[in-house]
Amino acid sequence: MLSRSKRLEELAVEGDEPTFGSEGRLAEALGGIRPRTFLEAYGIVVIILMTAAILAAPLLAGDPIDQDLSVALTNPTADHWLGTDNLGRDIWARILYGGRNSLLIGVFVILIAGTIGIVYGAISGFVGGVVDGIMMRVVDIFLSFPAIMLALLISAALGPKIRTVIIAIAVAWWPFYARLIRGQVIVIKQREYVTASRALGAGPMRNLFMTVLPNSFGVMKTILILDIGYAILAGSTLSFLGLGVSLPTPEWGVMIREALQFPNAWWMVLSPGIALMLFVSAMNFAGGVATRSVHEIHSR
Amino acid sequence: MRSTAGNPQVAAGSAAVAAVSVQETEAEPLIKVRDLTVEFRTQSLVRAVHGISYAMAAGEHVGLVGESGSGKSASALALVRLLPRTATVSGSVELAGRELMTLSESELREVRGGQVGIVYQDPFSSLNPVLTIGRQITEVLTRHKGMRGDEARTEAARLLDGVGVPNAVDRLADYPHQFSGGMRQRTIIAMAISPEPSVLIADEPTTALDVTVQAQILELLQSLTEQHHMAMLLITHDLGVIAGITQRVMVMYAGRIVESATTEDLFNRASHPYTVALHQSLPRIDKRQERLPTIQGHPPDLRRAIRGCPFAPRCPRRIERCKNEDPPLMSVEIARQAASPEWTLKRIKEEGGEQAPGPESPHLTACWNPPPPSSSVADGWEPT
Amino acid sequence: MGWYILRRVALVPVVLLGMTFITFVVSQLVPVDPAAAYLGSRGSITTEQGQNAIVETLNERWGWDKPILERYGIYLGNLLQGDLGDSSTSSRPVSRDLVKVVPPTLQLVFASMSVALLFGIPLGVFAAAKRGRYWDQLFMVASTLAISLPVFWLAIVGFNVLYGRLGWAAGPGQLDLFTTPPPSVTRFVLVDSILAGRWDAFFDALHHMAFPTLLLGLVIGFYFARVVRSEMIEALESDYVRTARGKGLSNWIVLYRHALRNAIVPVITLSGLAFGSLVTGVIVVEHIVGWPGLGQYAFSAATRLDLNAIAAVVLVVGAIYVLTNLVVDVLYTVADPRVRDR
Repeated sequence: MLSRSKRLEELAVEGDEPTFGSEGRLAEALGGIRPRTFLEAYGIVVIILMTAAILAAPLLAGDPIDQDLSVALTNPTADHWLGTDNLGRDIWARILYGGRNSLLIGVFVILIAGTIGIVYGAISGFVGGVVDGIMMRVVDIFLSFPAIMLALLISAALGPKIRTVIIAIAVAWWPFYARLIRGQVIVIKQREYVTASRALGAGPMRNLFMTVLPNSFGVMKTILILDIGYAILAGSTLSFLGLGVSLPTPEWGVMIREALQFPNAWWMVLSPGIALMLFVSAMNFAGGVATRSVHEIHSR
Repeated sequence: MRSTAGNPQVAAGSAAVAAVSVQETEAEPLIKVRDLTVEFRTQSLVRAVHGISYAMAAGEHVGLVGESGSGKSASALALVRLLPRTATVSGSVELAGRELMTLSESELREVRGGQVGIVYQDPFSSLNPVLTIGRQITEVLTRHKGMRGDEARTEAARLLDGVGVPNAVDRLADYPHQFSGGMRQRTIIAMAISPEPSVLIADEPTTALDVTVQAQILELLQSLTEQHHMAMLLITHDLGVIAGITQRVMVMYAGRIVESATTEDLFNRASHPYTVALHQSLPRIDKRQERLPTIQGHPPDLRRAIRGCPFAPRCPRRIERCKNEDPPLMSVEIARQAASPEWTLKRIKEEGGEQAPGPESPHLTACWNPPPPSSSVADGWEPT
Repeated sequence: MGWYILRRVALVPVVLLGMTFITFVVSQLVPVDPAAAYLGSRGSITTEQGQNAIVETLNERWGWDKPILERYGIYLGNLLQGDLGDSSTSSRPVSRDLVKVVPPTLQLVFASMSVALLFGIPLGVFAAAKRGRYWDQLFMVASTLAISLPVFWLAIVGFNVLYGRLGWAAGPGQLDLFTTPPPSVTRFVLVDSILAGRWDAFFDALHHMAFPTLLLGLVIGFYFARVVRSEMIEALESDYVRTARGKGLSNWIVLYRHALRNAIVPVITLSGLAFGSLVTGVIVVEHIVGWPGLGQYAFSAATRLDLNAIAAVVLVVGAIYVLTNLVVDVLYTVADPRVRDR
């Protein structure tokens, strides 16, 4: 839900010392994988396990759409590990296949919003001047909506499909990344080594790609990865509202919506919620959210 | 300036007495520091201050010189336990006969500000950005002099004026970011002296300022401390700063005091290779220099215990003994003889050689092979 | 400082205009013929004539037969007159529905925000004071979980347990079925109850508000607490706090007048953004607990794909969000003097 603040930019700007070229990047990428504490290790393990299970869904579970009204609303048994829903579908299967959709949404939202945002923000920051001013005004207007509201509207207009959820959230989120990277680019642009690189004869575009971007990317990488979790949550929220995945496609958010009408079938509501909580918190733990302060994360 | 002629008085007792003998004069020294050690526990254990001892008399101006990492700031802040939580301080610090290390936090708070004033290195970050200047001064007055309201504000304006800030009354409502670096430092000085402490610790007060402002600030410090008869510990890495302001100087390296002398002696008769090297590295107008001399090598890694003299790896005068035995801080006379092995540590102590710097102590150096008096600042001396 | 505020206020109409544009554009994206879609859910009017007549009216009112920019102009004109379109479910002007529905939500939002601040700030200070030790680590884990879970799910489970099983929380509605509502003066039930001297209604309303308020307040409070903790730690390790300690000031003064006073500044900015998240949370939670507010309205509108209603809700929420952030920015200049002279 809440993953933004204006301060984020400022914090991101306080980031690591830039390195020339690309040696720094690789070292950083490798160094970033080593977990610092038990919690981070736990997070990584959970993510790997869950992702593996989700990907291996056909091997681990039956058909998520197959209805069998004769066993509707049964609690967990040996046959149905997590019980069945009101239409007799196996919840365990729906969780696994639903995970695919939830994950899909999360990853694609970040991919799309991140790409658009980074390109937009990098150009805006590097070009500067009036162009930058106008581009940022547009960003500001997008950001005047609470993110989910905008996504809600877009989703409603385009009709509830998994595709629209992704587009909706991506449209709502790209301005955040644009602003972030623009801030980074501006700071790095002003640092002397860019001038030095230009003194050596590199042209402006080459400047942008070889020196400025790789260094700005360091901070962004952490934020983007952590945001996958929040994108999954946002997707589930929209689906819960009925604006996301359409039935009978399984997805964790939509499964919770279905569970609303059957408050006594506790297994229906618990499974997707716990799945969401487990996955997103694991992403947070792995990203160091539980062991570092906000400052540390953004200057990693 | 105090006289340094004459032999030191030898502390009573035999070798059984604690290894260090502190100078005693008729009046008890205001500050007595004994075996002060500071360690920082970050990812590894760093020993920043290595068991130093010294004394200061009331009203005395003492300089503490060293490069970054020498432990000079840490040793000073440790006196009132103002170091971050990662630091462990041990040893003894007596202020006017009162042991500070055993005081509780609340008792220590009386001492802080009230008896020990501090001027910090970075005037930009040492002031609270969201409180007015006036507020930051009046809160000291409220705390230590019980003043409130208008009385405090008038006094604050008077203090600000006294440190050379124009339009002091109007300036009380300003915020730190509206002040220049020099004015901020003046504010900090005003805050430090307002409770009329007996000691002022000035931790590199001019390092962050422009050269033109530096002189003004130093002059201000000198006149204020003389006016209020305050002792001052002036910490700096710049030898030029202490000339003319301090009566005595101690030089620190790798957490230890390596030389202690009157200012005059330190300049004219430097007796430790490090001090000489410091002198050499000062740029000079009166001599032709093709290259600015620097000290070869780099300061030791304080995470590791050091064997022998910490300066040895960089010292052009090192001898065999330097590599194995850390020289104690001893009188120069004894130091000059101490190179020969008959001068064991035990014998040095017995003969009263090993001493801690104090108001009446002689010229001390921690070196097995001190440079001869002739090789001083005036002449060139090439490090090998 | 005056200039800053002036500039900031001047931006507001520009931003609002931009927002209406975006909302307009998005609602035009509906892939089906808008008139037909509009009519479709209202049941059928079978005669061709009848259909045409209705399409005529719509064209007149909204200019659907005109080029897009003109359409936007008409849309804007209608907006300024308070015409937000008619709901395709209730066939009533949306504006009328909104007027009924906004006050209860505002009540919830303000109450939750208060809980979040009252709970989150001291918690953050506490965690900062205990940094690195057991309580702090516990806090970090707990707060990570709090921000990782879907609020609507927590609401369902919580409501099930606290209302369904334990009967502690109150049921749907702002008041019990058997409590007669106080005369509606301000449309805020809490205020109206006080005005009418109806303390029974007041406390009943509080009871009904308790669960959603606490739920949202606690979750958002955890977020505030994390930021406060982070900022406090940085403040406590700063040079100016060292100066404050060096002056011999008491722990209390150092903690509150020096450290917290600095740490709180980013929290102010965050409140504005938290507001946005709060409203989002309210939308899902209201439906679950049966609170008759904007959220409930939005939820049914979303379910029925009532585009006019949804667009109106988004616009209204957006406008409130913009105004809230304006207030927040002004407060920020009061809190942080460094900003004033830019």
